[in-house]
Amino acid sequence: MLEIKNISQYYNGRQVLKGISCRFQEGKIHGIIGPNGAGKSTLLRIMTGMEQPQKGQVLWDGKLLKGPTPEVTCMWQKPYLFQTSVRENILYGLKIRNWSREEQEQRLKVILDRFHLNEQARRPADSLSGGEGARVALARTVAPRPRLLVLDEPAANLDPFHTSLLENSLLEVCLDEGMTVIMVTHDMFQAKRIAQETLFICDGSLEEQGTTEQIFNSPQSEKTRKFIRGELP
Amino acid sequence: MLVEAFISALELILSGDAQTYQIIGRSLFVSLTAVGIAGIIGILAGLGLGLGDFSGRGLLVRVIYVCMGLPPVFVGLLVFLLLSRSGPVAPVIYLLFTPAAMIMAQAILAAPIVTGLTAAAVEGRAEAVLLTARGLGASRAQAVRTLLSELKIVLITALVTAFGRVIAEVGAVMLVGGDIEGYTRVLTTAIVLETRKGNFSLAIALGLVLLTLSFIVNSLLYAWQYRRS
Repeated sequence: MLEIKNISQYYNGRQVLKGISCRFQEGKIHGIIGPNGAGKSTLLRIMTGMEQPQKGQVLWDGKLLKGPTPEVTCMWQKPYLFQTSVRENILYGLKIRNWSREEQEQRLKVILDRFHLNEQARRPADSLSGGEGARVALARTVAPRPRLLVLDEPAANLDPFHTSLLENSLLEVCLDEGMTVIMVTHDMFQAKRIAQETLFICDGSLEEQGTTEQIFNSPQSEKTRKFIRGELP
Repeated sequence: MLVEAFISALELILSGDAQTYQIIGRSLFVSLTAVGIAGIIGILAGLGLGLGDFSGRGLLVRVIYVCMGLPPVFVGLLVFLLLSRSGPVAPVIYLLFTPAAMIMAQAILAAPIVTGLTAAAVEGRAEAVLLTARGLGASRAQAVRTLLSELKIVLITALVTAFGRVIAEVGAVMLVGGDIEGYTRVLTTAIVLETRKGNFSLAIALGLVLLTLSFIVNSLLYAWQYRRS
């Protein structure tokens, strides 16, 4: 479904991505891990068509991706909630896809249940706590049933309780509905808990890719080993 | 004198005096039309300025900010020269000393206010809103519509600010409207006239009517914002 070929990106003459190539398998949860400043978020913006690479190609179903596609939805780091109610935030993706009112209500009910947001549905989004806000942002991203869900540090700054709530809801929905997920995280344990496939990115290069078990139990690269042991700055 | 003037203002409003209501109606018509025109131009320009990334943008923003405080008399003078018999517009259509000229002058005063406030609001929030909307599958047009919806309160505040500025100004409308009774006389020019005639209580009464109009418009905005929150 999604393939990136030899992607390189430069900002102000500095190379932030160095010829990254990889392929993502449909229906799986992929974790992208790596230290701060490794180029993970840049890679996400490029693979979703939000940013064009200076070198290389992004292929979606074998075709060149020239911009964002409605089949992919993203939750960015520090997500922005629209200044409406929780309910309207979740319905946003459905409305722009012209779902019928009946379909919208049915989907909303499922999503509110899955993300434990029934009590907050009518509340203004700007009155939510950090944990509730993150769940609303994730629920909104999942609601339109995208083929690919892209998440950039979805649990950043959340306490363990809210992180666990978020992860469980995500796993439940994605496994049930067969969504493909690409999730950037610098929390190795989160990648270990959720991801089936893991990519390790360091200094703008794809250092290693494999099953999560492989990456964490028998890493091939020295940098991966150091990162997992917490020795990589 | 103030109490007397306040009573006069009430009497003026309650008396149903046709001439007074005509002046109030004309003031509202001229200023609301000017703000409507300035709103369309200002919001589009503000969006362009806030979202655009072109050379000279910084200079343009500074020019707009300076124009937010344009002296009404100076704008009146420019419009006067533009519309006068020797100006470039007169051979096509003669608009000086008409409500159209007053609308034009007030729109020029209001447009930079709407542009500047819109551009500042867009700059502050556009990236987050557009990225979020596009990330949820919105097309470019849908994302811009979402941005406008997110900025609704700011845009309405900008329009009300512009309205407050133009309905209270006298220099420009006096110059290009000429304060012709029954045709271009508005509240502010009537206040000047009554003051010159020594009818201070009537002048204050008209001033209070002007304040009341501003108060009503602002109250409507406040009520709307309160309902939303």
